[in-house]
Amino acid sequence: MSFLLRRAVQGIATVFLMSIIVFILSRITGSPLDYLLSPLASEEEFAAVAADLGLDKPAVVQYFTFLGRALQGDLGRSVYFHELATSMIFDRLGATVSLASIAFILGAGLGVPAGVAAAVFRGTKVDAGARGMALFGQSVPSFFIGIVAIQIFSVNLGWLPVGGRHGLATYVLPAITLAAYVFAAILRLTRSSMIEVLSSDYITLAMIKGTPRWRVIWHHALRNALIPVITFSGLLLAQMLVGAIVVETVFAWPGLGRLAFMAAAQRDYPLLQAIVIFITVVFVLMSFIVDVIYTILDPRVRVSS
Amino acid sequence: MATEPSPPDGLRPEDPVPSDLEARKRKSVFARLFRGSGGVAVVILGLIVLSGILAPFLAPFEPEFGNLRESLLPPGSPAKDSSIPHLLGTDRFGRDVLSRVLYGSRVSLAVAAMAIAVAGILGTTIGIVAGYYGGVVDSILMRLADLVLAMPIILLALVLAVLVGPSFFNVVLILGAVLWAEYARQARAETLGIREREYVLLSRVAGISSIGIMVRHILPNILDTLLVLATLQVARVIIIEAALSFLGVGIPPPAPAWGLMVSEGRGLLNTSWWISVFPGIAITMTILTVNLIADRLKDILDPHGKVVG
Repeated sequence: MSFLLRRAVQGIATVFLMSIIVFILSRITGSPLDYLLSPLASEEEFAAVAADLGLDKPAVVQYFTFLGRALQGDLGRSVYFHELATSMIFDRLGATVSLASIAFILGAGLGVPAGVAAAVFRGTKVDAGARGMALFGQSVPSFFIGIVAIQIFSVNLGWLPVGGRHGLATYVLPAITLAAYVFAAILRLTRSSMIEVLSSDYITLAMIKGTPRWRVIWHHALRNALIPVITFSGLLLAQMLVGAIVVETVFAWPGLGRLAFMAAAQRDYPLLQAIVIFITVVFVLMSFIVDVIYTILDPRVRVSS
Repeated sequence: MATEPSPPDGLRPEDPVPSDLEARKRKSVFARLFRGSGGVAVVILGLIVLSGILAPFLAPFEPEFGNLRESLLPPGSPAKDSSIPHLLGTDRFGRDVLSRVLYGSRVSLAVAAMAIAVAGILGTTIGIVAGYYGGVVDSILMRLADLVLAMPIILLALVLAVLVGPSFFNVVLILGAVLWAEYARQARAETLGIREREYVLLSRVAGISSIGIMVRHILPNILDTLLVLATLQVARVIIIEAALSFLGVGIPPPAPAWGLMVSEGRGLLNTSWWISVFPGIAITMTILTVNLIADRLKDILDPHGKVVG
């Protein structure tokens, strides 16, 4: 238990660290007044707004005000949309989570078996084929897959919608585009981890004892080989919440990634900073969940480290 | 049972290496790198690099200026004031796509090389310092590294791009700032192991300063794995730069960055597919060959999987 407790404290420290970085970055690169007020505003107007926002107080006081509000769930207002940043984030979360989960299930569902097959048939054509697919999935930029897929399947063939989110059909192209990378990454990781496990003594022992080969592979070996894959998947899922910026932009998907991109394009720093803090919290929670799963899968963690 | 043949005891960097053995080892690295698909990849990547270096001699037209009267010409169209046709067509501004693709490899490779240098120097310094001194310095620096590693790179780059604005050198600095953490982690992990070795303790006894130990004894011993890490990162840097340029927060127009070119042709794919497709193929070929070579190098130089990247 002390292991999990320590990880929880570390996680909270991480969020605080990020809030400090975000705060400092926003201050060293210019006063928020520059984008809140028109350049033609008078000195008095600047002073009034500064006093109103508490910008005339020392930086440390400002940080704690910012932190206090953040702890109550108020991450500020978007400069461009004039809406609460948190409510904008939660509005978009559903679209992103549904797309990311479908893409993840698709990518991992194909990637794990392919990785196992590549490891079991190491050095054969099966392995070469799987590695080739992984290499390709990692090498074609998602924006290129995306626009070519739209051209072929939406414009030329007219089978699928061009973009947006209205109904199941709109999920197909963005999910496949996003899944390509997940598939490649999970395949490679499963393969290398499986190769390592398959060469360990206890697997050889299980084989000598006459356990059926399929059982050794899918039960004894895969269980251990999946541990690094699960760790990676947790982080991958957290990253996909915003890492899908490119895919969401290409397919006009109304998710968090597109929100982050719009915030960046409009230089909407408060919104961007809220997204960064939100993602940090998600990441910390995700790695904590991964740690919990870890302690269940690998009891050694509970004792050591 | 496919058990992995145990690799012969590899040369550890700290062992004294006879020079002929070193030479033989290097030769076999190249021989193994060139075998099969590795050789094809090396040749293709070599051509891409060459086309970047020789772009001023190879490109038939100016990459950043075009004749508006020749806009959106399909591949192979004759040019008005030149005997050389527009082999890959022209874009909306009448710029020659082939010339832009050739110059584009310059942009991609230059950004990648500079960004990796920035990230490598920054990350290695941070990692060695954290590993050598330990304690609070170590905790803070490594928390920071974890944080950077955890965040989606594109998001971090977007935030920084918003703060500093788009320009060639800003893109290099942004990429350096989001990619240093992997070097830091690797350098730290290895420094921890070397710090306790006898020769380091003896150097300390002999009165060599901490900086001297870090530069002369620790750095040379961890350089091998850091170089493997750097080659593994090349593809990622290129893909991130392309994505940033595609999104409009990377290399600013009118520079011929491949990602930017793909995005410029995005709305015209139906009528003028060549504007996006050729730079898209160029990015894909570059990343594919770099990935293939990096995979090979990792298999050869790091058979025990010391590098986590």
